[in-house]
Parts: sequence; structure tokens; C-alpha cells
Amino acid sequence: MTCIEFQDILPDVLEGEADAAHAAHLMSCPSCSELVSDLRAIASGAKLLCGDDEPSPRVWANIQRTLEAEGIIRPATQPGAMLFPQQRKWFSPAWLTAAAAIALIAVGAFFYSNRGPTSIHPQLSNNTQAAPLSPGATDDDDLALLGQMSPAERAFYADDLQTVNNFIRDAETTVAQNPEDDDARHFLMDAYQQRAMVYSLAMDRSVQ
Amino acid sequence: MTGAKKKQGDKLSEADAIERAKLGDPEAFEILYHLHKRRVYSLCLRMTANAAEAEDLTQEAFMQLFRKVASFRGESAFSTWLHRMAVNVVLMQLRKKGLQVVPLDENAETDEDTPKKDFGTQDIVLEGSIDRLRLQTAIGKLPPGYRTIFVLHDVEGYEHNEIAEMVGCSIGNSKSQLHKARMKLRELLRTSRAEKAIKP
Repeated sequence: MTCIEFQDILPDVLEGEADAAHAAHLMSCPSCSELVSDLRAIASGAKLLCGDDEPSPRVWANIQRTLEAEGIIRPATQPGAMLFPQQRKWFSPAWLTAAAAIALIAVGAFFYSNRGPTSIHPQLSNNTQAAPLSPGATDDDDLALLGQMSPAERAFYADDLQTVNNFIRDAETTVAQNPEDDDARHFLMDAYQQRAMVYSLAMDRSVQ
Repeated sequence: MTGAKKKQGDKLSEADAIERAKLGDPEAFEILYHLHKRRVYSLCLRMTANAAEAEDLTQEAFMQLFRKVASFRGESAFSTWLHRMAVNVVLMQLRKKGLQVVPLDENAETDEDTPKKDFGTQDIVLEGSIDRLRLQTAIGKLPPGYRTIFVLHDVEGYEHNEIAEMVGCSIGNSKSQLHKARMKLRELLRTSRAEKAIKP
């Protein structure tokens, strides 16, 4: 076997498919023997390179930012991040509970206001429009506005308004802490609208 | 902790992290990233020979993985799944750049340097051990087609039938390209040694 013939089948030799003729040539030819030795050393050395290097910290920073932007994870500062981050944020338990409570308040106020005629305070009966809404109104302002109602009605609407106001304050705090949180802003607007509805129902009730 | 116990602990950590990642746990994603970042980045670096590009491709590979983590069913090892994804990301990038990943015809002449055959001459011997740094440098100088096959087979441990499927060539072509890559590396390493020997 010549060196040319041997090197033509060298890939097979390196894969372990050498026969007696190949082995004999290797024994007799220092050049081909060195070649095989070098190629085997290169293949062995390559295995040591696997997993050798480390990317810079910017890679993880970019990945994390993209995961947050795509909603796959929650930002680290947002409460409840460990619980349901891969779901849409408005389905988190805290938001669902608050939304359900506000809906119940609105429904309750609606049915309460439609249960039949009750005492009508003269001053409130002259108000044909709902009281102006002020998202920043405090509980005391609300109670003052409703101060003209009968005690039973006042108690009912005061409780509802206080509950809605608490939700509004929580949502306002969340928005202040997370200005980029669209869901928190939407929830806050919904809470304002619910309070407006409770107000409106109270006013409607008072003029019946 | 013994090596076996540590390895078992690592496996449990990865399994837990995968399940938590499916639920969107941010910490779980970070654990999975740090467990596999070296291997993925090394693969990208070897195949592109460019650190900045390798980082971009590493980022892309992990993002593709994390977007699909919820669909991971465990039929194969997570690391295998991630690795295949990384290889595909790199190959797509090479194709986008218009680089011929592997010649379609194993016997075709290419623009890449064809390594010289060695006939009966005794040149500088590599002494059976390879300097890792010089080998890394030499791999970076390989033409892209040779480099792809060499990295996938000798560095990453893929078999020729797997490589053929990934890059879209025949098994024979994969074997031929690997041999040419090794021959070219030998040439580069001998040249490097000769230059080093000449310098005072």
C-alpha cells in the first residue's frame, strides 16, 4: 500500500475501520503514522473545548428584558411575580378578587336602588343630575355628599363607596409604583367608573 | 458533596426549574440560563469565530427555548433540546449571511483552502498534545464549511448522520468535510509552531 492509497482511506481509518493492510502501512511509514497521530490529537483536543467560554452579563440582561417585554415573566419588582407570571396579568388572583368585589358592589347598589320607594330627602330630590365626580375625593367627602340620605341608605352606599375607594387607593399605589403597568391603569379607571356608577345609583335613588 | 450527589442535585434543580419555568417563574429561567449558557455560547463561538455574534446567537437560542418551554414534554434531555435549537439558530445565521454551510458535492472544488496531502515527508510533529489556545485560534481560521462540521463533530460530539440531517448534506459529505477540516487544522497548527520556533 502506498501513502497515496493509505491517505485516500484515512477518514475510515480514523473512524476505526482499519484492516491488516492499513495497520501494516502504519507500522512501516513514519510520515503516515505521524499524520494519524496528529489528526487523532486534534480530534481529542477538540473535545476539551466544549463549554469552555462564558458570555458577558449583557446576554442575560437582554434575555430578561425580552422575557418581560413579551410577558413570559413578570418584572422582578411586581408583586405576585412568582405565582402566575405567564398568564395575563389581569387574571392574577389579587386583581380578580378586586374586580369581582367591585362588580358585586355595583350589582348590589343597582338592586338596592331598585327595591322600591324609600324616603326622599328634599334637598337630594332636587338634584336631577349625579353629583360631580372627583376621583380624588376622600371617604369623608363621599359621606358628606350622602349625608342627606336616610340612615339606612347612607349606611349601604357608604360601605360600598368605602370599599370602592379602598380599591381605588390600592390601584393608585400600584400605578404610582409601576407607571408602565397598563393593566393597573386600566383597573384604576374601571374602579373610578364603578364609583361613578355607585354615585349615580345613589343619586338616582335619592330623586325617586 | 460527592460528584454523584452533586450531579443528582443538579438534575433535580434542572427538573424543578423546567417545571417552574413552564409557570413563568423568573428565577427558573435564570437557573436554566446559567446551567447551559457556557455550552451554548461555546458552540456559537466556535461556529462563528466572532464573540459579539456568538453572544447575539446565544441570546436568540435561549429566547427561542424560553418561548417554547411550556411545550417541553421531556421526550429528550432538556440539554439536547436546547443544543439542537442553538445549532439551528447558528446554521440559519450562517445561511442568512450567504455562507455555504457545507458544499453539496463532497468532491467539488470550493473556494476554501484545500488542505495539502502529506506524502512521505517528516514535518513538525505535534507531539501528541495540542495547545488549546492554538487549537481555538486555528479553528477560528478555518473556512466556515469546515468549521461547522468540525465543531459539530469533534467539539460538540454529534454523529455524522445527525450532522447530515442538521446541515442538509449527505453522511459521506459530512465525513469528507470533517477530514478536510482536520487536515487543514494540522496545517495551521504546524505553521503556527514553525513560526513560533523561528521567532527569537
